[in-house]
Amino acid sequence: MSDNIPVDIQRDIIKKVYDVKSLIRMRSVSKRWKSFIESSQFIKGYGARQTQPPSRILTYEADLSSWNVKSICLVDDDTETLKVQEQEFVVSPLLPQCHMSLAVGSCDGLLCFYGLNETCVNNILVIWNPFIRKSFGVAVVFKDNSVFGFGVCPVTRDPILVKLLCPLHKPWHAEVFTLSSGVWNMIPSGNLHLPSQTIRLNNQVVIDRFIYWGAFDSIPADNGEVTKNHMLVSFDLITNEFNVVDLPDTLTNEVISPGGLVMGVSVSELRGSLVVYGPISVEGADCCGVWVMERDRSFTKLYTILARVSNILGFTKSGETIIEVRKEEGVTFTTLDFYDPCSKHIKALGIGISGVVGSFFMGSPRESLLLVDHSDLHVYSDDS
Amino acid sequence: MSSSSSSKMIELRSSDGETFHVEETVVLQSETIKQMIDDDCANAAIPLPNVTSMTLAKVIEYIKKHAEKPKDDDDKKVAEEDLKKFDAEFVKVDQESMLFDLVRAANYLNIKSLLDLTCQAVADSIKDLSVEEVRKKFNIQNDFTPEEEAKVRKENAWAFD
Repeated sequence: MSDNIPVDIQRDIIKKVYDVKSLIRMRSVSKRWKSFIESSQFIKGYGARQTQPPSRILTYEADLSSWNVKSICLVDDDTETLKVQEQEFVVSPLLPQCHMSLAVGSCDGLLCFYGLNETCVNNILVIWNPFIRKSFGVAVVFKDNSVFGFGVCPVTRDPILVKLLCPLHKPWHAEVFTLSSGVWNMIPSGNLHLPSQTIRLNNQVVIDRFIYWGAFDSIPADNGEVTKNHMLVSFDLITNEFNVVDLPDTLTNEVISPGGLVMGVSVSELRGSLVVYGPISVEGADCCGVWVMERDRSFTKLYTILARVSNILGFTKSGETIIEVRKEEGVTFTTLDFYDPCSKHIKALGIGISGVVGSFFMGSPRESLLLVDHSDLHVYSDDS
Repeated sequence: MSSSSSSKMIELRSSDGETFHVEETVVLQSETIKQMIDDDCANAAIPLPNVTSMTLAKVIEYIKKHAEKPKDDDDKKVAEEDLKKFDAEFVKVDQESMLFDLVRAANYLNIKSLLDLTCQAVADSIKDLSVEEVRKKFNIQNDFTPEEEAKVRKENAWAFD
């Protein structure tokens, strides 16, 4: 019938529906629509889109006794404050089974948590797509000094986990897990361009094809003093290579060790660029320096936040920094604040959320269909 | 612009027999008509049996606007903004069927930018519709058995809230 829209045009229209919830629903229009929306070509092509208006998943521990992850969605429209979307996201059922969970990272609308069980031996990495409410787990047997990373390969759109182990007095050992393979594979030592085994990694962020960690190395000198060397460690999601990204002296010279405690620099993302931040001293007071990495990997200082910032969760559309300010010792619960770089003022985020200190994590403002073609709640065993 | 390139008129005839005279430079945005002109099939009125006069008038309004050339770079910015506004208004049609008619016409006449614009408008309009409403709009038969459909819905019951 000439009145009908040709099938290829129907597909073009489906491709332009930028809302994963609608797409999930439209799978039941017809068998043809279902198989098209569930095809791996469509899922990969759909990629990860900025939600409109930008909405971000905020996760936190609300209660010390239960360690349960809570999850809400913050909407960043053009008004001055972030709004809490009414609907509370149902957290992946794999997480409440854990005794305690730590956010690893976020990429392409997926969030990754490291869940520890009570004995901390048989742990689990949970990858969760909150927008389509699907998740899978990867069991990991606890080993000393393990650091996990999470990203999505920009070419194959395959979710990737990395595990970096540094057994005492032994060389680096790294493994990579891809969802398509379902197993951990060793990364050849030739790919690990990490000079020292004493490097310690902080939090991660994914920019383009790289996972970046803030990192530092403590090098004992002959005179008994210890030199702290700040840097970034990167993992290339395409070539599976680890590398060190040097930070300029102008940056590392500013970074201090408050109370003699080496915390190293941390990382965040601002409009697709890598942001490095760390403790600095201004007239004897502990503050926070914020730098941005340019395309040529040079660094520019953005500003100094005149407060002891323990965590930059992200940036709003209008450029305000969402921060967790370090509280006095012994404080267990905290709320989040905004730092406005124009007025240089810190004000309360005012979303009425209070959580365990250090438990806040914010996902990237994107949503994707990744995992739609994957069986929900499957847990891969750790064969390594 | 020289007069020779802008003066040649092409005659288009809609499915209901109405004729439209459009400058050749404007009408070349349609790959389908361009092919006909290249093949020398455009000496008489070009029949467009799949496009009604109402739809064709809208299409011509669109390609005329998109054929306007800015004079300089300053003008270019203004023109781009103007075009954006025009496009946004253009897809705000009174009758829903008109949007679908435009999609079909853009597809038949092979005008990529109009096809993109109208497909996006349709996509935006179906985003919040129920499955039944989408089927009705696209005239799609439900080919699931009741059991199959219940299963698909059950998998993601939350998306139907």
